[in-house]
Amino acid sequence: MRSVRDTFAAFAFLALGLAIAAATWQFVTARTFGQSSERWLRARRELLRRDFEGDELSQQEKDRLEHGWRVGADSHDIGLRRIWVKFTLVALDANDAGAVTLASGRTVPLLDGNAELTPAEALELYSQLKERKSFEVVGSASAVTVEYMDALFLFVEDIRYVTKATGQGPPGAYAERETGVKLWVCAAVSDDGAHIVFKKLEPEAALPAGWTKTRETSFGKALIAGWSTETPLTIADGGCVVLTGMDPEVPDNDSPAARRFKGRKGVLFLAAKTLPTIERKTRAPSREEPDRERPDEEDQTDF
Amino acid sequence: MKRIKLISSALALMLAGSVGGIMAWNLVTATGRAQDADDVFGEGFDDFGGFGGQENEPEEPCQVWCEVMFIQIDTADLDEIMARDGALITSTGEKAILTAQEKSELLRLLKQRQSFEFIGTASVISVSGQQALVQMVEEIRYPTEYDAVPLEETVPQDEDVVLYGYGGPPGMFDEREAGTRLNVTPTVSSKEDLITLVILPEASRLVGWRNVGGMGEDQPTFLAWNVVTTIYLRDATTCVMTGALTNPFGESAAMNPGKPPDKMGKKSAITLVSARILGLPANRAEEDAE
Repeated sequence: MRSVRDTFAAFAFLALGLAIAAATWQFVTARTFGQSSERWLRARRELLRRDFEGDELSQQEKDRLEHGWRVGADSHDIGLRRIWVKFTLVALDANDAGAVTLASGRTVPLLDGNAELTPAEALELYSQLKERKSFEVVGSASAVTVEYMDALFLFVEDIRYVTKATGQGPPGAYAERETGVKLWVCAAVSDDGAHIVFKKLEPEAALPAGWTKTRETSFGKALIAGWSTETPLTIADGGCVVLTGMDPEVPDNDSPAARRFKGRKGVLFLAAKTLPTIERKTRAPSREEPDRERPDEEDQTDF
Repeated sequence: MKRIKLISSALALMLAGSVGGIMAWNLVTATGRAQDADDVFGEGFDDFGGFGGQENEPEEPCQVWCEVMFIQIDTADLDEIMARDGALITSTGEKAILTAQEKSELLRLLKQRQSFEFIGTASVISVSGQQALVQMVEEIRYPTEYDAVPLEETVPQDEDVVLYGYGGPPGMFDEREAGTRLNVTPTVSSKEDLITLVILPEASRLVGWRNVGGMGEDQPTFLAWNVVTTIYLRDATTCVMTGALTNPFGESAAMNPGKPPDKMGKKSAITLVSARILGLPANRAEEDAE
């Protein structure tokens, strides 16, 4: 009887030991995994940053960057912020592009130079330009992306043209050119969180403008008329940069687009801001309680 | 004495249990983790910082529904909606993300306009972390190169010189798919409330065939609405991206050279990207009801 009791007690102690071991292990691994997770996310972010800044990554680092996305290390966990970018391109006649004086007393020249404006100033400038006789919005586009990631927005028409035109008969080969609105961005938030730094910012608004004529055929390379620029600049978060006095690319022909843009000046409004941070939920979402993201009430830009 | 012996035996047993338990657990988890790491990252992953990536994935793989809509509307109509109906869609960034209700309301307002046009819409369901592709397209083939043939009539007296022209039959063709396509890789975060989308939606349309010179076959002209981006969204929300151009595609100067510019319309393109996690408890009831 006593030996049964001893055996029972031995098993009880053994079970107790196992329970303590499990609890201890859970505690230790939770800490360790948490730390390694943090380390892993930091390492990923660092790789993204280095890639963004143009550092040469080794093949192994490139592979790690690539694999990480495939297995689903999501951008929010890495701490990447969402960035909204918009451009609006306005055309004015050169003789209608005199400087604008804002209510604050600040003067914005429209024929030369760039200006960094607050949302309110940008809105005021845009409103004043709208009153001018030759004011025309050529195109605009907005895109949302996360830090370090390329985003491309296209609203285009593909124009095909002849690339090999010799002798008689049909053309030898063709190529394609896109015309319309394009926006290509790649940006990151500065270390102090106050600015958005663009590695790539390529807005374009252009129209088809005929073809170059070749000797043998009536058409040649497709031409476009409009504005495009590559400007890796920095914009204050929620702010706006205005590039002024931009000359369009206009072919020397009589196409409607060329007639329309010849001699005009472009004013490019570039706005960028980080989208509100999403606070983590502690339970599953429900449709009855809509997911509201924090609105930015201070934003007043409207162009 | 006997009692002391009993207590020490019990403690020894407890210690043995703990050590044994830890060793067994260690063996099991280490094997699993090493296998996972090798599968996913290849050798040397430990140098990179351990198993943090594992924690980024939910315990149970869930599915994500993604949808893209390409809409076109006269810019004047859009401006009017923006001016009259509040801030549902603005040209500022604060409404770049819409709730489900706001999206419905925006669509209702847009649909009321005569110029409203659905360019294309596509949706697909995918397991978190897996790429999905859905496309509803028409394959359009067209010649891209013609064979070179000797042009007999232009052969000069000197027979060593033969001029070649491109008067032969088409030698090469190309193919383009016109329609709507959605290529997306959704990833649900560890807390199951955010979705990262690597998304490449596209809508394209054949608007006509145009003679671009010579005696060749007419060449196709396509309109395209594309977005390539990486975003993250809260469950059941929608990202809005817009574009506008003072030029109606299909009636452009290229298609209608004689058309005066002042008769051209102003078109706006709106791209809506939505995502929703399927299989969460709150959604399951809705799915059952549906």
